[in-house]
Amino acid sequence: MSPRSPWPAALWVVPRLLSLRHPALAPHGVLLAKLLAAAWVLTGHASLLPRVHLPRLALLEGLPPGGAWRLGVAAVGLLCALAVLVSRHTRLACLGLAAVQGVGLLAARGDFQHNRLFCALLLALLGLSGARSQAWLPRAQVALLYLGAGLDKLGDADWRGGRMLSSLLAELARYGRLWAPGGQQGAPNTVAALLSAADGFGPHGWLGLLLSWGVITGELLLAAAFLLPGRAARWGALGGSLALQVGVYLVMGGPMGMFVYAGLAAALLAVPPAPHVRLLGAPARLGAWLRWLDVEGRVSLGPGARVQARAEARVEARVEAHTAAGVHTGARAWLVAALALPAVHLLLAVAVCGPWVRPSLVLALALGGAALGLCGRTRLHAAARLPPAPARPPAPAQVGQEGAELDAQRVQALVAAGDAE
Amino acid sequence: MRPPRWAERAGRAARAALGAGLLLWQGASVLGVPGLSTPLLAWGPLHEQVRYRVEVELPGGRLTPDAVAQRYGLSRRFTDARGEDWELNRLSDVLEGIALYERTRGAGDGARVRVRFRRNGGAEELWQWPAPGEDAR
Repeated sequence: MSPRSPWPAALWVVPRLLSLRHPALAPHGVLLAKLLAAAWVLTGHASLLPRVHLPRLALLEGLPPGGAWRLGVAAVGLLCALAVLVSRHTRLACLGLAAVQGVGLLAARGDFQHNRLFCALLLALLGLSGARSQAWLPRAQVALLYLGAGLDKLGDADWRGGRMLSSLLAELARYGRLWAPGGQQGAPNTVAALLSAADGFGPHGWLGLLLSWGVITGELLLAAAFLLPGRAARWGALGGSLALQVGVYLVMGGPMGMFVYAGLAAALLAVPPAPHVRLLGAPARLGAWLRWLDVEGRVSLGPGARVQARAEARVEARVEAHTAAGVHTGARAWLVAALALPAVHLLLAVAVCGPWVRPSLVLALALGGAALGLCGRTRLHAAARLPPAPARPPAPAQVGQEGAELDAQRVQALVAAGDAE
Repeated sequence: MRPPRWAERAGRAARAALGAGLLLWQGASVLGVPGLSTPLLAWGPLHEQVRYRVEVELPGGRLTPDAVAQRYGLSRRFTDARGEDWELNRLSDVLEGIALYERTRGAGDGARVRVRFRRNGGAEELWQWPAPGEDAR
């Protein structure tokens, strides 16, 4: 952790929460583990462990069926989640949290859930990965989930014929929303009601058929996209998994336990956030916020808008986010910079995992993120035009001096480029 | 103190082997490789949706829905106003659990179990324990 963290020593937990440093794990692996742990805690999954009844593992048969063991296992799970969140023995804590969820799955034959298994296996593989040669383990897990789900549906006549999906939507329209944090189960499910009432959504209607095949092919393509190298595959995996998980949340009216949360967080494995972003043209006062939120200096500021305004008006309106991959402009620059901050991911997790979450909030966040991502341009491999970024965001007083120097270089370069055009 | 290099390498190799083993086991389950696959790891989320009702007759009388859930450890997460349960995972998991209970803990109870269910909105089907033609043990 940075010795220059502005947080007082008594609040040591906050900078640790916002830190992604780990001697072996990649930063996005640490972030994924933190998001899974946060979702598990915020959604109250610690209190959802089943009582022991006809366990799948004979070893668990001797456990008392009542609350004592559940309390103990939940306490271990919460300790492990806390350790993951504050970056203490991250890999060991990941394995511990995975084991707690695994015990919950094996304790009761009648309470098996794929979503918890997915979350547990992701955490286990994060705990087992580390060195660069094993970084593929969690990504392969996501690919296997989508491959298995896609093949299972492909092999089922009711899925292929659209009957499963149309009957599910009719049931959802009748029953209401499924479980979601905050006890909203059974509340009216607007999306399912609208879809099931639509023309073409009968037992063999064209809409049900289209959606069914959309899900089947989408899952199989996602499996391939998470495995294949290349920029198009990685962005396809990111966009596809976000679209699928948001769609699942809206249609089911809930996150399907941990499934949507784990699926959304796993998108980090496809396109990790930029490890460092240099934001040019942003207001200098942003630096004061970044000192608190960005304890590892992932985003640094270039010349402020006020300094640029003196030199040339057309530079003022432009915000640029420089990463190792390229230069992003417009609203996309803000999105790239924001997503480089662990604090933003954790705030989003709090927003969608707390009891206040509603489908409208999930839809608004998804549309807002998509709009920011679409409004802007990206020029790849153009970062070399700028001086290297400092390891830490400069102090506010330095921003002005450095900004003035950079501004002069930058305006000259832009004017020269403009003349050439 | 930093562990010796050979210990680090051995640890890395063990972690990689364990992780790869977990993935291979799932892969074998997805593909249904005989002897290696387990339905638990075969990844079939939302395979089917089933409305079902479990009726249990004991020599002393019929069990209430809550007593049925208690007997078989059913979660009853989605119960509608008609008292029907809703399963979004495979119904076979529920049926296997009931059969296992009746073969083991409930073997001497003389229970007769009927599960009426509709799979994916289809026609009503019936599953019974003991199977028709067999006596309750």
